[in-house]
Amino acid sequence: MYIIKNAFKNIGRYKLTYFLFSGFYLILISASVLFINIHIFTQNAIPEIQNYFNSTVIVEQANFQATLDIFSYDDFMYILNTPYVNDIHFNSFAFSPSTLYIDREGNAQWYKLFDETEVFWLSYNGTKKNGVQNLLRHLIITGFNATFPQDFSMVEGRMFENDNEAVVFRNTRIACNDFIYIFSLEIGDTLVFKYGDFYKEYYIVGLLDETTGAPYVPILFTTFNSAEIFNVFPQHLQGSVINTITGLRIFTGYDATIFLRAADDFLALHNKVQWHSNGLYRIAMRYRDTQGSQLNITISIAQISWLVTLVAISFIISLTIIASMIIISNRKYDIAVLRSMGMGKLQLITGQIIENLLFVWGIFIISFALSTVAFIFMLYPWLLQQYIIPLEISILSSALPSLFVNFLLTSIVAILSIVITSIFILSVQPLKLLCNRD
Amino acid sequence: MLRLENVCYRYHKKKMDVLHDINYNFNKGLVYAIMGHSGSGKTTLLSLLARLDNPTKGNIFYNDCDIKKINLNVYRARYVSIIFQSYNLLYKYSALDNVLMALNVSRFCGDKINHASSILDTINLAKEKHTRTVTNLSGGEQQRVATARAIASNADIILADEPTGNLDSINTRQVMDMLLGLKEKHQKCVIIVTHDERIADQADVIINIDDGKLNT
Repeated sequence: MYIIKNAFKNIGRYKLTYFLFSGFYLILISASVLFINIHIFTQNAIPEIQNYFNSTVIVEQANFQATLDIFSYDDFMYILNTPYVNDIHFNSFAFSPSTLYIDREGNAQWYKLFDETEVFWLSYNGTKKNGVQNLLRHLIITGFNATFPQDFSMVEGRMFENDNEAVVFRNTRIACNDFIYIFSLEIGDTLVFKYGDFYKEYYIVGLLDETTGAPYVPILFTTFNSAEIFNVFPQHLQGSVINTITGLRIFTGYDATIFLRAADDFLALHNKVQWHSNGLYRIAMRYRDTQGSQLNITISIAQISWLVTLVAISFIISLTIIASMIIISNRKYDIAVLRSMGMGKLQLITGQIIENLLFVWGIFIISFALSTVAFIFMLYPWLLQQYIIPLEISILSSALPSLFVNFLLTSIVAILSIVITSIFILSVQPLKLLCNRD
Repeated sequence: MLRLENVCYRYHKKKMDVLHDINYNFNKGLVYAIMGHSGSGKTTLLSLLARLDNPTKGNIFYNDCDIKKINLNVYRARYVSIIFQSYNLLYKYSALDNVLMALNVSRFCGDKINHASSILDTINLAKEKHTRTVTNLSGGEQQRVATARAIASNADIILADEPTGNLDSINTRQVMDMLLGLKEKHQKCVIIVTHDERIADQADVIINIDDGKLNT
């Protein structure tokens, strides 16, 4: 036990030496790790695509009338979360099917939700520079979801009849700037929608129960006025249950329905930046295919990365040898004294190994933490603005993950310092160092 | 206690023995002073007794057991303890840590910190200096810490290589009192190498080394 205690104390006793060398190691290891991560990105850069995204308004058109679940529509999310895409129009078409519902008396009613006119139900136009939350402020959804639950029951109240009435599903959950986390809406409750100058109150007149498994919980409104706009801002993104509702409509028909979508775990998605950028990569690939341009996508990670690693390793080895020699030569006298006192070579080596491991692991942890923090919070966002990376390239699963490099380098430090230390300790002769034989 | 039988020692690549055919008994409870001119082999003899070196010929016995047959580390940790002229302390360590290290090496069982502290008290080192790095102590204090370290190992034989060589008269007296105290209180065998006749006069036995031989 005292060997361990003494090892700790020795790091304090020889703090200047340790401080200097740990500084060198720290810089070297962190720089190597960061360099490798940058390199991984640069290896996968698609500059043409970057320029394309910067200069072009993307018009994504897809027949996604099946769902208003924009958050599960990957490409939209990828674009939404990619910082360097300036401006996007994201359009999709929706059709207006009719559907059945069952009234309180149990009679089936044919409720025509919409006419068959194609409308854009989703459109985005705005800058992404201020982050996802601000992006959603500019998100406009027009139209409605065709996959309205095929069967639903009116469990309380009635269907809307006036333009200020709404029916909601019983388990509707909402979060927005005006009504936050309303989990149990009741008849008589008021929903207020504001968007710019637009202001409108809706009274809940009916509660529905869905009988088929719709993945979201809509609110139904009716209005007789055309071109009304609703928008509920995602002001309350914090929280893990329900985060966002984004809804808006422009209608030209008579009865209309708008579905407000609560996007579960939006923040979690938001945090998966890599996932999004992978999607963007996919879009980029599609762009390449459709444009027929020959984009230069070279994924030759191994070559230069390994070269960098080898250079780092040789630096580490040299530094370790020098460090070990300096540290141990300072200790030579101490070792001789301890040997003269009866401390065994094995004990001395053990003590030194523990000390080295503490030192090296200390560096490992600090350098890994520093490089990771620097990478995630500083480098990664910057890199994301410069490059597009494919799915298989990630920090920990790439050909040269930073953890691996860090571990490899520090292992070399540890092993070398142990070997060198042991050789030195075995070579110390107390007689020569301590006795002045005249 | 410590018996030398036909001990010879010759430096590497030298033709003459520096110590030649030495036979002698060192007994416990006595203070020995080894004197001799420079190069006579005083420190060499001490290093043989401490097993820092081995005789070219002959054997040394500790309580009738050949010291070569005793584990080297055990011998150095428990049976002999050395006080060097240049103190040879662990200079990055505090006075307390130096003594603690001796206790650890000799596998002392008990409250080591208290024991180390009490040993430092016996050599009259002020409490506030116990945790001070030894380089911040005076020469006399350092030598006393070195003596404390030797005491801590509780070895039967204390070997002192000119322990007062670098000290003024006051510190010399203090260190000598401690060494003599070891003999009187603990019945240790204290072997002191010295040039100083005043030191030698305080010893029970004075040994002169001349031409590689011991003369009592």
